[in-house]
Amino acid sequence: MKQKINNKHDDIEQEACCGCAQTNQNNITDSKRRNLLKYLALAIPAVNCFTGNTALAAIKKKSPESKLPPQVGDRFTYFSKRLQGPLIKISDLAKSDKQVLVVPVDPKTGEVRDGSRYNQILIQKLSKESLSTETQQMSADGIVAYSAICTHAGCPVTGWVKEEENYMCPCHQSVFNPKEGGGVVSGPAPRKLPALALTAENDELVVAAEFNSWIGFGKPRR
Amino acid sequence: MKSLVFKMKYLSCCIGAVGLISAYSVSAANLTTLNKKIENYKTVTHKRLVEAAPQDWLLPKGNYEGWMYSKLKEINSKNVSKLKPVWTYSTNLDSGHEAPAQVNNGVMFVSTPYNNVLALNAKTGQLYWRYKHDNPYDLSVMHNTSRGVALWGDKVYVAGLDGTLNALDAATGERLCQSQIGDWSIGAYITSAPTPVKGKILVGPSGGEYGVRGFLEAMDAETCETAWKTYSVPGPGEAGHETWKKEGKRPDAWKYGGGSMWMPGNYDSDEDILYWGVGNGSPWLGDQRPGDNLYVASSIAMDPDTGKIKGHYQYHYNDSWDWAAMNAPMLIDGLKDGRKKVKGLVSPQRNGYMYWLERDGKGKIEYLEGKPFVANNAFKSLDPKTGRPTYDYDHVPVTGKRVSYCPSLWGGKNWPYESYNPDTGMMYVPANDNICNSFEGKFQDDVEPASGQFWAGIDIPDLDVYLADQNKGVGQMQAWDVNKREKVWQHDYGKTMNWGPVLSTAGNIVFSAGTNDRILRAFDAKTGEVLWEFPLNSTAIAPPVAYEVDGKQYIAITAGYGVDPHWTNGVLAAKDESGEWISDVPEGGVIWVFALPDA
Repeated sequence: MKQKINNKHDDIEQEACCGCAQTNQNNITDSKRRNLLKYLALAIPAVNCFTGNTALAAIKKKSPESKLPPQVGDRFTYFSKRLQGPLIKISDLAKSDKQVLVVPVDPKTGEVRDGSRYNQILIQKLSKESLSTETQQMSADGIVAYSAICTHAGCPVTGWVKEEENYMCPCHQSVFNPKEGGGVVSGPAPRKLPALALTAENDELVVAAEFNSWIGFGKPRR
Repeated sequence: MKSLVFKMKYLSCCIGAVGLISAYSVSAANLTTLNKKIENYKTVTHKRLVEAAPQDWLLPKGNYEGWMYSKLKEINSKNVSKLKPVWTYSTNLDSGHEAPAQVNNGVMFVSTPYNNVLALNAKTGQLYWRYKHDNPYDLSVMHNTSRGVALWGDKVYVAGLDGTLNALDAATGERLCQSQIGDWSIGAYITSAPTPVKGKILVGPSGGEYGVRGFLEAMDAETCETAWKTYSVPGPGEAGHETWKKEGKRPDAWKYGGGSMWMPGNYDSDEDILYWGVGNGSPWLGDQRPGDNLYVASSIAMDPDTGKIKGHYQYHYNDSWDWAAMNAPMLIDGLKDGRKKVKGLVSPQRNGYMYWLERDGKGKIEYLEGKPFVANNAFKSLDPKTGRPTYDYDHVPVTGKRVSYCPSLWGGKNWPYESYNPDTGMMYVPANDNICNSFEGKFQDDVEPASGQFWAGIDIPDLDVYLADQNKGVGQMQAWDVNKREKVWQHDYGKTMNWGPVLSTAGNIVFSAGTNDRILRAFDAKTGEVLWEFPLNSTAIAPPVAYEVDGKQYIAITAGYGVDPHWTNGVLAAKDESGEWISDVPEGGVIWVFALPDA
């Protein structure tokens, strides 16, 4: 049976619509988006057979390259729209007091691969001596990189446990050790955070290999 | 001309978007497992919802007034000790089960974490159908629960964590239409039960920890088209917008100021007015959004046809504690105020105060009285005329300084429903006292609000949750005389929080679970004496309900610990030195149904 989908919607990012309108960085509804909706509403009757969430995802769809997982040779930029742009250099990262949320960038096209939540990555410069042997091998100048997506329920792991130098998920408080390959310290997460091997080229932080495990929670996607 | 070009740009790109949509279409046929079609399903009408016949439990709270009360009394304080389980059904899911079993003419509907809906024979527990919502593979939400469904006409409505509102054929579970209410990827996911009112289905998303501007949306029950949408934070030109001062580092704080309407509301069917709760401010720190911040931490009265806000009452201004006012106040007519009787609103609030309010039938809400039901060290007093609190600024969280306060951010009570029993004239409140927390407020500028990132203005590892007195417990059941405005009895659960919604019945019983010992209890409604206990498979944090099939009364509750109750229990158990705090509470959803043995 065909379903009717009311997929108007004010919460659609303008940039999602083929980049034909200016980005609203805060995703805040405004009158321009209401104009968009009026015209989208005209188009909706033609697509009544589609399910809502996939339809919304499609409207928000970016280029296929932006959804690719980090590729060998990719650089990084900040996740924050306000900070996004410059490629991250080794020298930008002092031994920081908290992990930084970044996304990969295709060095050839400059395309920011932020089309998938699964491309949110945590990077941090830590003391080289504090890293396990395996973690050292994955790191570049003491900088480590992990998937930001919690292996428990998929929330971004943005909490920082200062005393123990661990990461904590704000949703359900799983704790991970970035010095030990992203291993689980406590909480409901069933497995470690996937790690991303790094290298450096001309002071730029570079992806050296694919994630060493699958991203996300539940069972691996096929 | 410029405007036309602008519109044409949108039109052309949206045509492109349509092309993209078609590539992602999927069939809804695979979402439902049909075991047996429901024959002769009884249509849910406005009249039936207003009347709230005791054999059914159509609305999440039993009636539009929000009472969590049943007129059934086959099971009563004299025979409840004989209560036995008659059937159970495993949901086959973990995490927090927070939905009531909703019953229509012998058919039970239960929504679950991860957005399954089960339709069961309420007498036997046999499955009619199971709907599995097609949440996106990469969905992530803070609370992966569901707090119930809406029953209207011949359909069942369930919200998805992905921000959708879905209409299912009640007989088969097949999805018929769907509306995209919130955008989960920015943090606007939905856990609330939708509310049916006169052919519209009303629901609002969560998002107060993600910088989402709260709203309530009404969907046409037949077409799934939007009927109206009302933001809880007024925009420019709207009344109340002036309470968001354009000062400080974030002069546009109203755009992401929170105020999520994440719980179902109540409805005055005589006066045709909705009463809804509005959640916490975002970020939590009030000094990052100067002003009173209407309608954060308020109850608001709304027109169900248009969504227009007709009146409001703000419990505390410039919320800085995460003390959301998400639960709508209970509607109690004939409430005594001195010598006169008034149409009242009564609400035990997360801020730890009990409020008695008056509604004038046109939407205006006036303060009558407020009393603390747990210790609150942030309020020095309430203004006797308005109820506006005076703050002790030593306990008001601010940016850049560590501040402690009680009750904790989870409040004197959280979302679990209180119950009003017109037979005893008492209100039964699942309370948490003696629990406090501290944190240092952060100015988060590393990520934007409404970007899908936690944006509460604190770093979660920095949150310290603790007991004010290590020798005392936390969870309580409190019974208050609504007209005398006095506490009548209290049951102390000891070293556990209480996350159990409450059911009271005409059989002089109060049912509730929610404690870490997994026990479902029946109290004498008048005295508080524990009359019956039953250990469930897991702690139940879902509302207990009462219904009747073929003249026999049943009590149903779904066990299944998870989300905040499980986390807070773990934190407090880890700190406990008495050995009294139970830390190992298993998860796993099971619907439990109890009845008296056949004579």
